Amino acid sequence: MLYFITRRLLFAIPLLFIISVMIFTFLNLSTDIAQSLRNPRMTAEQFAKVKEAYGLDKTGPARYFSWLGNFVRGDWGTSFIYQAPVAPLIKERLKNTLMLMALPLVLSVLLAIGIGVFSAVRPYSKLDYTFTGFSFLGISVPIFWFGLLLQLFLGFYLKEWLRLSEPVFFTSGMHSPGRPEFELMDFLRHAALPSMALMVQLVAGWGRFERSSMLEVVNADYVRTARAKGLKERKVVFKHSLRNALIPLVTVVAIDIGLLFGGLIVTEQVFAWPGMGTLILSALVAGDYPLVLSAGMVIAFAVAFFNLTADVMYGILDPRIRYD
Amino acid sequence: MRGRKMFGLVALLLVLALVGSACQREPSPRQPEVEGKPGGTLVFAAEQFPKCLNPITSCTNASWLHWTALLTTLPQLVALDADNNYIPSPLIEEIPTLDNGGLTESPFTVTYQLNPDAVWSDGSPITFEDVKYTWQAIMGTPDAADTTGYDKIKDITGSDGELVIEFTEPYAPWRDLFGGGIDYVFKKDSDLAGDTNLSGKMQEDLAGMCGAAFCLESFTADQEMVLVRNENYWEDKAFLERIVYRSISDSTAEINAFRTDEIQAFYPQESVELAQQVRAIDTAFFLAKGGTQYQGLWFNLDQPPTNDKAVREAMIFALDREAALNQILVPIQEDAVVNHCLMSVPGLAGGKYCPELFETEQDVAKAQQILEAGGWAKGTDGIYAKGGQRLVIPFQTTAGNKGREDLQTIFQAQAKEVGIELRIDNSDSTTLFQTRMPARDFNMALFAFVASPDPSLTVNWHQDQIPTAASPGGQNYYGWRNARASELMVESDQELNDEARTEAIVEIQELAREDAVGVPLWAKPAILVVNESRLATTEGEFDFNPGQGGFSHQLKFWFFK
Repeated sequence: MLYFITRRLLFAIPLLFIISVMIFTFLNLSTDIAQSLRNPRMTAEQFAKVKEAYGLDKTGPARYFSWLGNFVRGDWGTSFIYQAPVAPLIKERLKNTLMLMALPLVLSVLLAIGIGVFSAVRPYSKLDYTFTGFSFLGISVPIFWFGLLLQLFLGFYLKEWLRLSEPVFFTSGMHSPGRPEFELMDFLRHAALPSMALMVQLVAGWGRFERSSMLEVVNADYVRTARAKGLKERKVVFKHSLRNALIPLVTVVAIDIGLLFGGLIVTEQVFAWPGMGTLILSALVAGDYPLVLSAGMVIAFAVAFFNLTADVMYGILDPRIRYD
Repeated sequence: MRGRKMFGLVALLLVLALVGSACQREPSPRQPEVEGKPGGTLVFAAEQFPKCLNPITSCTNASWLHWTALLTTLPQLVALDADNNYIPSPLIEEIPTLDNGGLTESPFTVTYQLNPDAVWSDGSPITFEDVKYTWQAIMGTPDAADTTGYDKIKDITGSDGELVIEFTEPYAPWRDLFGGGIDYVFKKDSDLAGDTNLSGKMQEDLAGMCGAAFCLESFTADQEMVLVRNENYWEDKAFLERIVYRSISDSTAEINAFRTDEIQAFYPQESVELAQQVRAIDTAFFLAKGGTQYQGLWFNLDQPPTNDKAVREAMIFALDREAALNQILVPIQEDAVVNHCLMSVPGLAGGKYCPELFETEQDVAKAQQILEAGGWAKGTDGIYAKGGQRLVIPFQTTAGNKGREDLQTIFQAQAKEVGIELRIDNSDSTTLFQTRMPARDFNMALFAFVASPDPSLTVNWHQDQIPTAASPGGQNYYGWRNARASELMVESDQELNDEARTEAIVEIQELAREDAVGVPLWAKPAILVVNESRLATTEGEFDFNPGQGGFSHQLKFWFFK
């Protein structure tokens, strides 16, 4: 197992290198960071001076290798647009994204499994059709639109109906204005709507996935054998079927979690949640390569890490899997 | 079963706790007040929240930095009022002129009398040393975004409340230095200890430089900024105790936050849908004013077919700008008017820089006559052609900007009536402004310029500013070559006599009209939305500067009812 994990981690190094080269190349081709530093009143000489101050007068490869050398040594550079060190910026935003993701992820996994199992065990029942209908709705509804509806109904109308002085669920930000210190209730009231918006899509997708995976398993020979042995239905479903049906879901969830580290751009935008998504979007638009590259490395690492976690989980869920 | 009960109980408690938490604060009393009342925290949504605070570097390219953090916290010498007129700020006694002896021509000097009561928030006086330090910092910061004008200062001296700025040569827009729209005075004796290279600094240090109605308390990029009332302000103090700027980039989310009273004011981008939604809210005060950004159609004078003056002239008569205005802008700003000058707006400086040169109406026959006189003949498909080339003008603007895209469609139909085909050729704003315009890869572009209350036209219009491969930095993307106009631009930049300067700027625009370098459209409106059931202003009605000043200078008059 240790050998397997070490080998996978070592494989991640060239992968991260290739990803960083690709990000830098695409960014260099599609944007010009120097232009975002330019003031309309600046003369050509002043502009040349500014470019020199930021090292933008060097060639693309020289800039890339300068960034890479510093990154490996732990210096992630300075963001051009935020004019602040990149590492604390990413740390802060990653924390915000994790705070937004954590609870909806756990709840989504549990709900998706519950819906998937129920739908597969009682396929084509009324409740299965209901879940299926809601799942398709959840998958098809654009998240920004759903988010705005949540703001309107659970933010504004609920406040009006209950005649409150302030909304039960806040529609923007991650804390009340001017109160940055963490207060659980304040945080929950701010996180509720974006969490719901996030969960609708996750539960809908994962629920469908778990249903089809479970449907395959409940009709397998070994499950029929378990029933023939006279085992209770609950034991057949939860011990023999679910455990195997979880393997494909683990893969999907692992990949999704890794990607969510890149931020939930739309959710963050609609609910003014200062996470990784808005950070990366601003940096991408401006061509702020020290920030985009470092954030890209964090996301790539997260994807690789969660994929590895999924591989390790397979062995736990199915002891027949060996890491040779 | 027991577990389910327990879960239900926990869920019920959580819901009750959330509702209870929402009920904790009592609604504010809503009795109308005549006099201002101190106290309260205003939450103001910022659509394009500033990412950094440095008042010298490229951070300053973001208008929201000035509106939120700088204009309300840093002192200026000359200021702009809501109508974009230069007025003396509380820091100076009066604006220097040749008549009051504040200006001398040879050598060119500007002398200010500083208000003896003017102090920083720590009580130390604001002196000429601070102004001198500001100049040294702007010139000493290698990545300064704009040193225009400051590079013409020879020295700054002063004593006993007097400040003398000596220039190496006459510089007409001197009022924009250390003040005007978006320039300031920094505190020399701050945490920066007189450091004159402010590259990468100021993020925290700005909090220690407070010389206006509010002081910066905290800033978190993309999240929020907190300002507190400056208790040591020498002028009338602000009523609001705190202002919290909250980053909300989506305008519909802003409206939702406004409805729930999470924010009490916002300053959104113009949009017909937004205007309709906000006007439907009972508590919303909605004010749209023509700003200093003005839209126009700008021709490339070197690319066919707009290199043909007949084509450009015909386009001027082909368009019914009034009809387009009524469709696009009047639903937002009822008093919006068509602009008749190319390089300013009528609502700026009393309209003196905006001569009425384009009082044209759509005249299809005249447009066709101009084209035919220029050798164009109408083809069987109804489109003019010359030398086998159909009259097709590629038409560029920023992709995704709905207002501009709608306008393109309207103009397409109007031009077709004449026999001109407009072919949409849009790019995203980064590509259009950072790649295509500098490469002069456009034919007829629709975008906005920013007019200054004291304009300098050289950078955008001088014939030496046409970008070339050898000198890519110029911004005369249009390729306008007019020796007389270029000469006037240089003259006007050095002309201290207001009347002579105005005449030069008007003449430049007359020459631009003769050469048909563009078609002016209208000033882009700026919008302010305030919850008037909660807030009022001692000025009677909420107002703002629709240009560089934004809403900032008026905030000190706002109070909670």
